[in-house]
Order: sequence, then C-alpha cells, then structure tokens
Amino acid sequence: MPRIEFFYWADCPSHERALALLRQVMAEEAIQAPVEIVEIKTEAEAEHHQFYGSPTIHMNGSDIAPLTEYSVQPSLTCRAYRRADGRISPLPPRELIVAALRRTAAV
Amino acid sequence: MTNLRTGDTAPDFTLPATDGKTYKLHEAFKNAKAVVVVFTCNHCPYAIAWEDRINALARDYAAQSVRLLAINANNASTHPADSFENMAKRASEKHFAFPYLHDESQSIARTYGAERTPELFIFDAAKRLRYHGALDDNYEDEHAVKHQYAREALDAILAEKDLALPETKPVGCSIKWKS
Repeated sequence: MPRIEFFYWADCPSHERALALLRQVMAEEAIQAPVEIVEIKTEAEAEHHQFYGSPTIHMNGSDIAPLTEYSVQPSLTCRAYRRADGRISPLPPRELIVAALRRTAAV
Repeated sequence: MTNLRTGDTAPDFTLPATDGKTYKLHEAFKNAKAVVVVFTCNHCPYAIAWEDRINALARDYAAQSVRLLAINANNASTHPADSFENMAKRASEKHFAFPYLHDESQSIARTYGAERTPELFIFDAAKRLRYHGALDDNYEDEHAVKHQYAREALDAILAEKDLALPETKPVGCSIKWKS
C-alpha cells in the first residue's frame, strides 16, 4: 500500500482544493490508501519535511512534483506548480498526481 | 482585514520603482479618473497566475486615464525571489505596463492593511476607495472567469455609477512580514 502524505500550511488557501483533487484522483485510479495529513506550522517543520510550499504531496517519501524556480527552499509559503501549458498554479496539476500514483502503485 | 473602508481617502506614499524612478501616489492622481493600487509579488503562485491579467488591466484602461501601481512589500530575506533585483528582472521580462514599487519597510502595506498578494485597492479621481479585493473570480483560468471584479469596478467608476460589488475577498499568498 502506498504511503501518501499531504503537507499543508493553513495560511495558504489552496490546500482544501488540492486535497479534494488528490482524493478524487485516488478514487479514479482505484487506489485505496490512507492519506496522512500534516499541518506545517514552523520553518523548522518545513525544513524537516522538505516542505517547499503548501501544498506538498509525498508518495512513499518522494515529492510528486519537480521544483520550480519559485520553490527553491523549504519554507512556509504557497507552492508554485508548473502546469503542462507552462503556466504557474497554486494547485498541483492533476496529471502530476496521476503519474505519481501510478508510479507508486507499480512499485 | 484591510484598514481602509469604502469611501476612505487613499493614503499617500512615495516609493522607489524598478524603472529607477520614485513614485508618489498623489502624482498618479493628476489627470487620472481612477488609480489602482495592487499589492503583489514575484514568488506567489496566485500573483503569478494573475500577473498577465494585471498587466492587461493596466494596458486596457490606460487610455481611459486609469493608472495602476503595483507594490511588492514582501520580506526578501525569507523570500529572495522578491528582492528588488528580482523585481526588476520580472518587470523587464514581463514588460509590465505599470510601475513596480518596492515597499521595503512594509509601512505602506501596513497602512493599507493589505494582507494578500495580489490584493487590489481601486480609488476614484477624488482619491476615495471604491473597490477592494481580488482581480476576478478565477485565478486558475482566465477563460473561466465569471466576474471581472476590477474591470466592473473601473467601468462603474468611469461611468460615474455606484459599484455593484465594492468588496470581495482577496485570494492569494499572505504578505511575508518581517518579524
């Protein structure tokens, strides 16, 4: 069973939609696994969990997304994700979640 | 929660910009029918997502004597992407149609009570606050926008009408304050 961790910082407003998206994609991919939800409250916690902004999703300990030039160090901030069309979004792109889930499930 | 209420007078400021000039808000009001003050930044994904639309707003309304000033008040020591040097790079790369001002002391952001990036304050020619909030209702997809809050506000101001929606909730990253 994959280990899925969802890290968020409450001050960034995108985490609820991102978590809903993660759960939706997991359902579509028929992946039944618990999602450990972790609130990051301090810079030290951000560093410890390699939290490059809210939200950050780890699957089996690995970040599902590559870093962008806007997310260069663990920090209490909103995370910038690059979409397939090159645009920046505060939400992790669906295709990244799908790809990570499939990779994780295949292990 | 912003410190300003609808009808309040625009707090004046003098700030340096990435173009090497210094801007005074009261000078922006000369011959202007409206002035838009946007608190924004380089690093925030919401600010980036709305960046081109803010630029388009400035361009589209310039001929109607609307001026737009953008202010970055973030603490660059914790968010290096928001340094003055990086602001200048961004303004150049994106061909900003507005001055990009640096509020290094954060005093202007505190005076306005700005909390998010981006967060808009729109004043009429009499320097009264007429609109505060978000640019529009969809940061993800400009083609799916249903309410163009800022444009609707400017259109009403230019037509000397009351605003249907003078306040919306700003959506974005928190301003990164110095401790």
